[in-house]
Amino acid sequence: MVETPDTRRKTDNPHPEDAGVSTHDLKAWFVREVLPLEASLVQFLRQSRLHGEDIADLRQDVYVRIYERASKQIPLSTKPFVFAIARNLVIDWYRHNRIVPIEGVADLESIEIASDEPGADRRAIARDELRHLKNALDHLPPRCREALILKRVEKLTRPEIAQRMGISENTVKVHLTAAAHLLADILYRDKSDLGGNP
Amino acid sequence: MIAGLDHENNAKAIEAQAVEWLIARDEHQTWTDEDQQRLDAWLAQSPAHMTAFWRVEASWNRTELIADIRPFGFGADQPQPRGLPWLVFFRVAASLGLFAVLGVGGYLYFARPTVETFATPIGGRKIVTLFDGSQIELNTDTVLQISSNQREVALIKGEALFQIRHDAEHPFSVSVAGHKVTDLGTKFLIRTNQGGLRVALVEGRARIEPDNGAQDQIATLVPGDVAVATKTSLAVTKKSEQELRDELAWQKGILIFNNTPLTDAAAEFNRYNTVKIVVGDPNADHLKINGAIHANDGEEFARLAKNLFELRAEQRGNEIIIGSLDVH
Repeated sequence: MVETPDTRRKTDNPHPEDAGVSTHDLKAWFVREVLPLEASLVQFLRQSRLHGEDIADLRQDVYVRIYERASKQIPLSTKPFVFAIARNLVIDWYRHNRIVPIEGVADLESIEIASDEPGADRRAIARDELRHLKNALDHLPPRCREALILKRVEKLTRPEIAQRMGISENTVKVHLTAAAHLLADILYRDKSDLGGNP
Repeated sequence: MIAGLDHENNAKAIEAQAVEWLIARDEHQTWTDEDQQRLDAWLAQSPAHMTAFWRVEASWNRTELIADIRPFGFGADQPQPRGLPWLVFFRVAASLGLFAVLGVGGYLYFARPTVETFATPIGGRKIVTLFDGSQIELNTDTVLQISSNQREVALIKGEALFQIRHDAEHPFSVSVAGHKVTDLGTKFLIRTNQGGLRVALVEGRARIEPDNGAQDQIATLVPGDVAVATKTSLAVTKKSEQELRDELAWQKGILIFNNTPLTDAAAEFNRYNTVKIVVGDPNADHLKINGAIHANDGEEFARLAKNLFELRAEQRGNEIIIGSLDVH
């Protein structure tokens, strides 16, 4: 994104001392360019022999570092920027946990090859958005999906959903919370991970 | 933030907070300007909050397109058979490791509100999240029962890590090997085998007492304490934070050994694997190993032993024999 003075909204920026890029622009860039790389990023972390919660924690660390660096200046090319940060943080993690990697950090080349077509992730998501979304919904438990649809499509309030579904408001909240977690992970996960879907 | 004992700041905890804000904000009728200010303040606290919120918000916003795919067969007006899809979901989710990754074990629990048994196979791990956000992580080969009020748990077999939200009015207790361990605001690890138990206290405090009420076998544990109890004895020793951190490496599928005798390391490793390591050479007893190894990789263990000590390793059926046991 090319930054011009009139796109800046400094009042939005919680870190005015960084003041390079407005939070508004940073968020738009992050959602458009960084989040679609999450599947590749998680694949990279897994190939670097991280497991379970460590993947989520490292992913968070990568996003924080991206935020800090990109808030000064948004990089011209997102993918190399993201993976350079990821690689450095994985090496730090090995050091901190005193783990000598037996096979080392995943080869960046192999990640690039896995999706070497420029912008492939983004285009695929744009093209398959509906199919992808339907697929994500297929992976939600039925009652959870029902609550989500009443909320997001019918725009009902929580008490109304509770009444419609014959459950307590608190249970509606539990359903919506689970839906939000599942959607984030399914929508940004590598589609190939989902295997044989209905 | 590096993953470790600091569970307040891990990605999962932050994501849970981000989701809570997100779905609260979606209740337009009850969302106030003060709520918005509190959300803004939370976001401004750290880039981790900001990016976690952007992530869940972006995927949440994408669901606005659901209306467009309803003609293809979605909608609340379509009755869904209750039982089977749940099971299918659990199977699919389990096969994807979704519960471990997403921590929706509590959701699973919620679906079946009676006394519930959770179990892991050899080499398995599972996280159960309770309603109040408390978490129990089951290690390999473990059986755990949770009461319907979610405040009483029985560890029947194996090992589990408890991260409990303290509630003085509803104390959380674990029954294990003829003892009761009660949380006083706590993160603790309990392991039971051969009728005994071992409790390692990571954070907060916990009380251990035998069911027979013997006063001299009651103790209040503080961080770093490791209590080993049998029917008739109790011993408490101290461990450093680093030692406890190493001990919890199984959460990441890793075992860490520090000057551990090869035979002990093999026994530990065998808890996680159906293919067992047998240390055949009696002279291998004095060999000690250091380092980290993936808990489910028998070949890696054998290779390590082979390279470190120039021992032979040979697989026979369900055993990998290390050392010179009638090989030469």
